[in-house]
Amino acid sequence: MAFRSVATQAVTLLRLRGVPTVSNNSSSITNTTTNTLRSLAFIAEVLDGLHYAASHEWVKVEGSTAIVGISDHAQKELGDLVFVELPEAGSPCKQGEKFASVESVKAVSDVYSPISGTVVEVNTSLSESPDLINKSPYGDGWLMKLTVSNKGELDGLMGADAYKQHQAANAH
Amino acid sequence: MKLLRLQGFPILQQLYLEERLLRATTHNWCLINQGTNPPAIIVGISGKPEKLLDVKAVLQDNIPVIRRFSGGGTVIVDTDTVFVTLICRRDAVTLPDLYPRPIMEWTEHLYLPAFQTVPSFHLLEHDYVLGDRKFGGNAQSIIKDRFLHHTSFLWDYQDFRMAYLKLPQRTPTYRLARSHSDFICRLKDYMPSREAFTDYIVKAFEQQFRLQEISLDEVEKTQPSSVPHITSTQVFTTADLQQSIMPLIVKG
Repeated sequence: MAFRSVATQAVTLLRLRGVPTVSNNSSSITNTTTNTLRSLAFIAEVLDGLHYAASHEWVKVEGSTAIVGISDHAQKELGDLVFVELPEAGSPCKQGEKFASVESVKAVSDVYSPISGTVVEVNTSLSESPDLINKSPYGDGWLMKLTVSNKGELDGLMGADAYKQHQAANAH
Repeated sequence: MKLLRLQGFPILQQLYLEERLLRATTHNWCLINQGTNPPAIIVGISGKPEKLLDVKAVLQDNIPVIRRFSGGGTVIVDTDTVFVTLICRRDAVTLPDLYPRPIMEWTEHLYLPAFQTVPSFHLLEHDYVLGDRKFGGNAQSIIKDRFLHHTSFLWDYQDFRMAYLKLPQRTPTYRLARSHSDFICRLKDYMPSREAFTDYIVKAFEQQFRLQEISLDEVEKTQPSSVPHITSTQVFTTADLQQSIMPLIVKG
């Protein structure tokens, strides 16, 4: 099941890139295979039921509360995370503005809130185990929970299918 | 890209300036600073002095310790360090997204022409090396549509100063079990002069950017420090450093 799923994703990825999946040229096949293998290693998980920002954060809204994290694509690109700086409970968040920082081996990257609201809880487990974000970006690696001030902002975010396209368009 | 050349500019002021240019301006920048005085220790944003330094020796010798706003490890810098910083907009580089590894690889290609006369310059894991010896420390700060990549090149170094730094918990695989002196090398052993080195860098960057030289006065006039922006650079006070080793002393 897993292999078939990966193979299907590989074909989809090649089609999105406009690369023919069959060629009579052996060099072209080798290059295509190499690129496919690189892409396979990089295919990131996208969960249905979440909203995604172009900057690779996700948000799940449950009633008036939202949970926010970074996508599997983002954690893969960032590499092993070693430090996370999160806001304090009670802090306001504005859509598109920085609310956190994550540090990987040599870099600090800002993380942007996909939705506006007020922070009610942050994931304190991340202070000791920032690698939870790498291991479980949609589960135990969540970053913050907030009360949402404007649900209409979700309209400007992407669903799973659109985010998959966005990822594929930015693949390197 | 605006090119700012500095000579002996204090590293703390340089870090404040860099953070401002990254967060509060929209231009592309290159800063080159020839050394800093007095010597200082710079840790990354999450660096803990008690884990990274011989804090007692640092306190005894009154070496300033600064936490910078970018990631990465610990360096000790002085007049023998050459600092080169790139601050770029997303549209200045041909990268689909701004993430650490692609940026690092982009800088390798940018720097390559500067090391034409030196054998075996390349990027190894996250470091610039000659062969398998590191000659500079790199770190990045990435924000929306902009990034900063700064390097402290070891033109020369004093072994006794390296002794302030502990072996870090995380080391690159290629380091193996080598001591600091076997792991790093001095650029002065490979380049004719510091001036030649920085000229090579400028020429290398000119292959991708049109450089426009600017003075510090012009920067202060056109990009004033009064523009509000996030500032994460901070200096550890003596009390901070003493506090950091208190639990270790108590455990004694």
